[in-house]
Amino acid sequence: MLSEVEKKWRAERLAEILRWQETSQYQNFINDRQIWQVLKDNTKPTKRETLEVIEKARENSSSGSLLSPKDVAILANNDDEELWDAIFETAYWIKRHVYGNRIVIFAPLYVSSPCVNKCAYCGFRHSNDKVLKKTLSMEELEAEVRVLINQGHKRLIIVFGEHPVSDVEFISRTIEKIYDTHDKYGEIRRVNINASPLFVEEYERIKRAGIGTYQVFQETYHYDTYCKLHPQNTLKGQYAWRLFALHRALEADIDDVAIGVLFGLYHWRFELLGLLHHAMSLEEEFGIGPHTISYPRMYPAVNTPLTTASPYIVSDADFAKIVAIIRLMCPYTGSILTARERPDVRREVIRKGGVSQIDAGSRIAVGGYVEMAREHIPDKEQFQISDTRSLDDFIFELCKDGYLPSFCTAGYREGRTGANFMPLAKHASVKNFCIANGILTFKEYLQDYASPRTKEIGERLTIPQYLSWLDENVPQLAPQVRANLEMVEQDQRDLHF
Amino acid sequence: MLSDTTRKALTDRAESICRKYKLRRAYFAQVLGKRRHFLAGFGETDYSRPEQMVLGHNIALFWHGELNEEARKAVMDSLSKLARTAGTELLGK
Repeated sequence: MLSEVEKKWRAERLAEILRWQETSQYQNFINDRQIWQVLKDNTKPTKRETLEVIEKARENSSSGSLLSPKDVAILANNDDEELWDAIFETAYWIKRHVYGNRIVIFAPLYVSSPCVNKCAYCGFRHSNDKVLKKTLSMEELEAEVRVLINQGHKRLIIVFGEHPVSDVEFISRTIEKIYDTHDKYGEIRRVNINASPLFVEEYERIKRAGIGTYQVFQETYHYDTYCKLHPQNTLKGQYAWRLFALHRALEADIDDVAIGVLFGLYHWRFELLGLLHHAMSLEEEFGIGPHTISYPRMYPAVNTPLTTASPYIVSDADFAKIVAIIRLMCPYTGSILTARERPDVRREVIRKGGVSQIDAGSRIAVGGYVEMAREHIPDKEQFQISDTRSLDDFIFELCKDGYLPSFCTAGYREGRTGANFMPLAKHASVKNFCIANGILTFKEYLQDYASPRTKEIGERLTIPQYLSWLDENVPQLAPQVRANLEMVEQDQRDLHF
Repeated sequence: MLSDTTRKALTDRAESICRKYKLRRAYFAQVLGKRRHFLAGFGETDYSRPEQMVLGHNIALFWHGELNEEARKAVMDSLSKLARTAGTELLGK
């Protein structure tokens, strides 16, 4: 239960949030009735209609256009298995067309679990006394980061509860500490954040720490469900405040923003349209769409019955459909698949869904990396993950399946952010950078961290395969990449385009 | 926050630098730790690695093409006032 200090902090912040909601000029872009109407109007799409949407999605991948709500409803309501095969094939095609056949790898790092909210589905809700609430000290944080960088990770998503101990100053110090932690070749080169919605001036403070992407998941776009799951006297209970979190981030000139839904809270078809409308609103207001879209599925959490009892739990088959539709509807976005999912599901959905980013070697307990051998620490976790394989095992599988594992962080360090990134992604030319930088960062991994079997497959198959791709597709870059590979072998690091 | 006037000034300067020195692309970014936060630019996408120099006031210039030492100095001198203006605006002062 919350202390008096926590309650006071929450009440004061809630008052500020309510004032923002009263005076905000933003118009709600989610109309529940309209979303259900478009789904109802397209309940039984014809084969021709579905094929037309698939073709439109392919064309859109070279212009960056989003599908329309009607298009997404058609895809979501398709019940023809052959057409689903075509949709999955198109998702994979689009992802390769935009980003190349590379998979960017990152790790989640849970920094702080105390939270003043009481979300019905979350193991960290303040009323759940079966999960220990913990905030890493700077020393503990450094220890966690050292484990991660000594595995070979270069990219993190850091996660915080909404609480006075994890305010903007703490988040900023955390980012600075992470960037300052080095160990021989090991370092974190991009820190993305998953945290609570902020005010514009708070985003401005966070931005100065040099973040990558700021993620806020709406969880569910369905208003009544949102209100049912998030008590009204909590900060997270404020629907509009959360809905426009990334609009405020963009006002603060944080131009890499990320959205997501927790699938399993409400009807998945509705949520897909919610994500689409969110992307449309960001584009309309700021000319910048979501840098990434995430689609975590609700998984069991300690002492959290909803996570197994919801009537909207998503099946494995429907999950693949969700991910594929996201790729078709928003061709340029990064698509993030997490270690919540089982290895067999991940392997299937990476391909069928056109996934572009994935975590591996993950531990989601606060302080979980220093206890790496323990796959689960239930009383410190928000939920449980299903893929606890090591980073190296996962990378080996990626290589066997023909992907290029990538730890690239070049974009935001070469000024390819926001309005300078979107055209590259929307016109499907960003892959030229992605493959080149993927090769170089994977080479670093092979040199510094890989097991003998991963090093063997990476050097013998993966790198030559993708150098050939460069020779064919970006011949002006191939010689420079080859030269840089030799420099990596001579112990130079962090070479990028 | 960067004003529209300053953003336009940066865009125009990127264009004039490209034309004067026959660069393929030039753009400005705010230096924020590791992040180079794009501000404004001119030119076509180029897949080579850009050169960069920090102009001061946490503003960096990136370019694709050749700038010899003399040209770099001239460019830096010519941009110092604009970099100061942009840097000051971005600090919210």
